[in-house]
Amino acid sequence: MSALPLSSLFRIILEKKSTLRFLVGTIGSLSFSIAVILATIGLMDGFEISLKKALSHSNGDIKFRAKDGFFLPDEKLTNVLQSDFILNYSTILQIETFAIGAQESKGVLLRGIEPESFGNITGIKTESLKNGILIGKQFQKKYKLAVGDSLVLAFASGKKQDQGSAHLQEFIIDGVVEHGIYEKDFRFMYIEKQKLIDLLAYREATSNFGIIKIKNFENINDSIEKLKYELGDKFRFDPYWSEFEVLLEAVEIEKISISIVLQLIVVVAILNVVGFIIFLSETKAQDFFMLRALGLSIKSFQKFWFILLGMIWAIACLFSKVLLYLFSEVILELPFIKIPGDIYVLSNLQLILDPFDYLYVFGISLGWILLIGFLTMRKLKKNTLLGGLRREFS
Amino acid sequence: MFIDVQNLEKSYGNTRVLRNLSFGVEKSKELVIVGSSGSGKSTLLYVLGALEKADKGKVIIDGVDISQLDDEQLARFRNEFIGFVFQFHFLLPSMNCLDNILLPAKIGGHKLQPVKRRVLEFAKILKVEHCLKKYPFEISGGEQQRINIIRAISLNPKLILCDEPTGNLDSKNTQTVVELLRGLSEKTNSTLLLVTHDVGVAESFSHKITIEDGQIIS
Repeated sequence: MSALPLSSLFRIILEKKSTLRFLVGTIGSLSFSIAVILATIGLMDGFEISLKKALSHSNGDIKFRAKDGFFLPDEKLTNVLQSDFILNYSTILQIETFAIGAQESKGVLLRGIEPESFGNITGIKTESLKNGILIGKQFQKKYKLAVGDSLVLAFASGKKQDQGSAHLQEFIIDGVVEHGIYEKDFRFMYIEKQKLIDLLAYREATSNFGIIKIKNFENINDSIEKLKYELGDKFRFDPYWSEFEVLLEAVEIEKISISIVLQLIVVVAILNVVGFIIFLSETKAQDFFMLRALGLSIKSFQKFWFILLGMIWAIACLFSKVLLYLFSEVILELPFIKIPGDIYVLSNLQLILDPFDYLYVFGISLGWILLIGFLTMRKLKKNTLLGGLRREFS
Repeated sequence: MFIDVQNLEKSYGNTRVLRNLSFGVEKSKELVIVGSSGSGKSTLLYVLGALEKADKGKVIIDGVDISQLDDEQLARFRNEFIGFVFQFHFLLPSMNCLDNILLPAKIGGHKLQPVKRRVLEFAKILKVEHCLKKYPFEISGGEQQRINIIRAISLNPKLILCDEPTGNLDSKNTQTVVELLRGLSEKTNSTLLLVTHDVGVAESFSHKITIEDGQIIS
């Protein structure tokens, strides 16, 4: 009963070109608004996720340093770092130096590493490190250097005969590495740890930094607590993201506030939907009452009404996905409007959205549409059939 | 009784439109309801046609108390039981005349072929075959009204209700439409109820009730 095919109802309701044009405009504006919100959230999520990934890539899971500056891996430290919950660790000797170029010099952080253990923990490709150094990609780009070129580093003389003057040392560039973070790609350089110790004439195995990979990444905070309990008086342990903790917190807060502010855009788009619904209810009320008089039940019309609104929403959501793809291509890929990496901490920005983001934005827009659809339906139902027929056909 | 109206009351706000109305109509008979403008005759017809609910009283049609039906059941009742001829043709401009006529069949989920055959037969009788593929705005007022009548009887309803079906027609077309309605109701063995304020039309019916201020006066 009351089986007027939906296609016939759609034909009756959307017969005029002006109605169709209005519908296309409504879907367009709704999908654009959804896409703008998703793109904004996606950029912020992308920033947070990429930053954390990149930090993990260069710091392992946990980093540590001695409270007194330098340390020697004694028995106690070695025993603790060989605990069950730790997968691997690597100690580092890092110092500030200057890279000397033809026109200018640049302050860099030279990290003396044990290539194998460091590479295993971070994923930074250290295989090419022989007797020279590894430089970051941004540094290489900026100074137009290539593998095999030489680079002079100036060390502050703190020992023996070089007191009071810089000690210059030329290195061959063995390779170029990427951290995924612009600042690190510009400032970090790597050298074999023993070579740096020899160069600085430090004691054997001297270190001032360490990185740890734990077995269960989810237990990072528990692992830090354990390490603090065992070695807390001498060392400071931090999760890999700690150096950007404030920035990450700011992004999180910004994400919430922006997504609230951006609801205004959805409201504007929803106003278009409201306009379309009012337009339909005004221009198609005649058809509605006529069909009811001929035997179409309210229930059937209600079903059609919510299918129509659901379709508007679904098409808008799908189209917003297409727009999102275009946004990401245009904003992140096209070279002439690509966001300059040096403005951001990350070398590259990405648009990352998780299912919750889609659920949040799509869900809110659906909620708005259903609310308006429900109110319109209530208004139509309030009118008696006779009253409606008389008013609409008078 | 095919139609049994008992103590029917209907008000709009403080205005009592129908006052304790009771009457009956035998199956396959015809009845004309006359009265001046605002007497309540159209409201009575709409209540009988399940387009409006009464405040009090009962309307029993072919044994079914329609005042007890819910919206879904009323919709089904309107579709299967009643053919309504409105004063204004109420044809949807987005569809051609045939599609307009077939709307009740489509709404009711009926098989279209038998209905189409019947519609073609009626269209021949009413001389509007040439209008079936046309849109309502492409045909004359008289033709629109005849299409309206075919739509009303397309599902062979047991009850044909007509609200001032000749209100917008000239005298020649009025005569034709009344004769057609009467002929079609005889042919389909249905009961015909017609509301009019046209004395000439009312005179041609064998059974008549007159309503004034919501009450039957004769």
